[in-house]
Amino acid sequence: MVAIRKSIFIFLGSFALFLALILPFYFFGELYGASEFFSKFSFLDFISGREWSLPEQKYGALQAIYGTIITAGLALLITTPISIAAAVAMSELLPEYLSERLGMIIDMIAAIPSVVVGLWGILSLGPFLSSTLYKFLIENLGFLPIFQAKTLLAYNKLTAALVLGYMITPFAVSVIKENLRLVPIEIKEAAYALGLTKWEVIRIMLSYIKPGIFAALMLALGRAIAEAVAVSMVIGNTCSFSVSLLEPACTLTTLIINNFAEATGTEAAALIGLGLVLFVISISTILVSRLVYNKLLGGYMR
Amino acid sequence: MRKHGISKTVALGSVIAIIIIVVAVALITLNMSRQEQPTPTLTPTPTPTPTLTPTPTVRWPEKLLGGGATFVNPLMQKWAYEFQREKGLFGIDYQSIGSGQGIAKLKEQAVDFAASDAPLKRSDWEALKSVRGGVIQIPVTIGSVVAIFNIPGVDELKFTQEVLLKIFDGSIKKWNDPQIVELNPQLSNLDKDIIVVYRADRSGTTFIWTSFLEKVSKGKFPSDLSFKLPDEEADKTRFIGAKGNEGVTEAVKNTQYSIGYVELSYAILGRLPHAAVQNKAGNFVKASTESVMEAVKSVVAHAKLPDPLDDWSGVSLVKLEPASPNAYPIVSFSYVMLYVENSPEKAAALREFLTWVYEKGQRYVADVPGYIPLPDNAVQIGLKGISYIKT
Repeated sequence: MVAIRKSIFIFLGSFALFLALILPFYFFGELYGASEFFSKFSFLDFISGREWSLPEQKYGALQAIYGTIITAGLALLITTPISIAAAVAMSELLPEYLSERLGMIIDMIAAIPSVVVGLWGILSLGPFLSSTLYKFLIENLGFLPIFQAKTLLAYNKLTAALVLGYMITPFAVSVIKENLRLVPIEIKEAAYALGLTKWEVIRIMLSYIKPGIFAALMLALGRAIAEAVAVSMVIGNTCSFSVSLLEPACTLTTLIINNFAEATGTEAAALIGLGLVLFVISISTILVSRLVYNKLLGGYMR
Repeated sequence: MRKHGISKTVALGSVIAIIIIVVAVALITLNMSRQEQPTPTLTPTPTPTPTLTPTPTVRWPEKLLGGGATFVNPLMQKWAYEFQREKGLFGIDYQSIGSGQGIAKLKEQAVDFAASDAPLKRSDWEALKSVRGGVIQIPVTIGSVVAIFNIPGVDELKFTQEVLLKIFDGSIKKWNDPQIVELNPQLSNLDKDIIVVYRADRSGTTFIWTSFLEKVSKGKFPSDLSFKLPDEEADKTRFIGAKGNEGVTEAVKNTQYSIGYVELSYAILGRLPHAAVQNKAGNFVKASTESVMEAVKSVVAHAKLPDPLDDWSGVSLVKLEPASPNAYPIVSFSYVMLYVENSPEKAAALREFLTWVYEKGQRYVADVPGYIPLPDNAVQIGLKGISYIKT
């Protein structure tokens, strides 16, 4: 019995090993496709090129990088307070039966396919926001450059960020929730024994799991950067450097997903280049978050 | 306690998974047996029309493989279905992978025929001239692109070609621009920015539309599978890109004071008003089955179109502007492309299927909303192309 169990574990574990082995191959595959790209472009010119326009054969990735950073960053900004609050509420404040059901619903959100979320964004969220929130923002906060827009558009950076935020929140919530559950009971008991109020205890718990929260948010950010289908449906797809959140933009992933099916030759190479840039961004996000995570963790080990 | 709970969920999960797998396998086997059934029941009974089959002892291939334009896909599926039902000789497997991919597959000789919204580029045509006797290009259906708009309370708009160009290159910025109001006095008080919705993905629809803009601008606006945005940052933000004809239709529907371009069928299905465009004769004409057929008929009758074996790259119905007073000017052929030389079975099958498409298939075109049958003189080009098929 034990032997069987052991062999099952080894069998499944070897899958993980297999995945780890795939990564270098992925690297080579990426480079293989990219040799086409490198033969046609210089990487530095490509990522500093300010304009992307296929009809005019202008291939610059900067607008797409800008769009990716803005939308993913904004989504992270939206999801941070919401996911922390939701996790705290579910693990500490709400009665168990309620938080269990709520947790189930939030997990279900994570299971919605992104194309469905995108359709929801196109058909209901975008039009609804443009006639309510966006109208309000333009009329009342229009003096801020980020809310300046000449026209009311349903599909813009803010819609994309909201859709992204909706998609990545469940991931952050469930990881933070698990972290909160792992706070040693002794710490909680000690805090209560010192006569701290519930809020103060929660604050202590949150600072205890800081690395966990950070990891959860990085996981969410990684997903936000990589998301393509839903974003391409609601972002408006017009590459530009406009500061206003209420104006359209494009991202690395949307350019690839929109154009790859009908791209040949130089265009296809340029799209592979965008993939390469995306790869670099994701890898560096992981590395940076790893560093920060270790630093945060180190603070507690001392 | 918790352990028990986990094993319970695992058990439940695996039961569900097993049920799903069993159902899927059952469905697949059912489907396969259903697909296999008609062939044995139909093949023993010889076709009652021996006139159409060149030799009675001909061996049919299992299926013909086609691929390419997404635009012709609904029509192609309809044809494949009706052809199979009527004759039961062999299946048609058409994959809508996009025009560019279709041509790429044709070059790789991975398909028996390809469909494309644009003819072969001259360089491609030259490269393929010596391969298997060259490529036959024949028009198989007509696409027409219309300008759909969403202005509350407005159902009819008229545009000269010049004004349409200026809207889509960004130089006319507001609905109450004098150039628009001159044609459409009902807009005189509409002080709103024009929001232009374009196709964000590369597509044949954009190619037809931009070919039209290129013609009107005398070559300044580039025709391409992607739409060119205005240079000014301030103009750019009035332009939103949507994916697919469906996406553009939805975006226009959900954005007030917007205008976009889609294939005619999407304007009809999406119940959005589309604009009348001035044609060569000076009339403002809205796209409809009649006006589009009239346009193609007029071009085929007056312009000298190349032979199916020749280079079609210069052919653009938009640029050959139909002279008929009732013609809608923004129309285009969709082509079927195939090699001259094929294996005996494939040649017979291609001949059989394509002849059917041109003779009987045109009757089914009207059943697919928004698609328009070829006029007789264009059908003749197709039949001539078929006569070149050799073994």
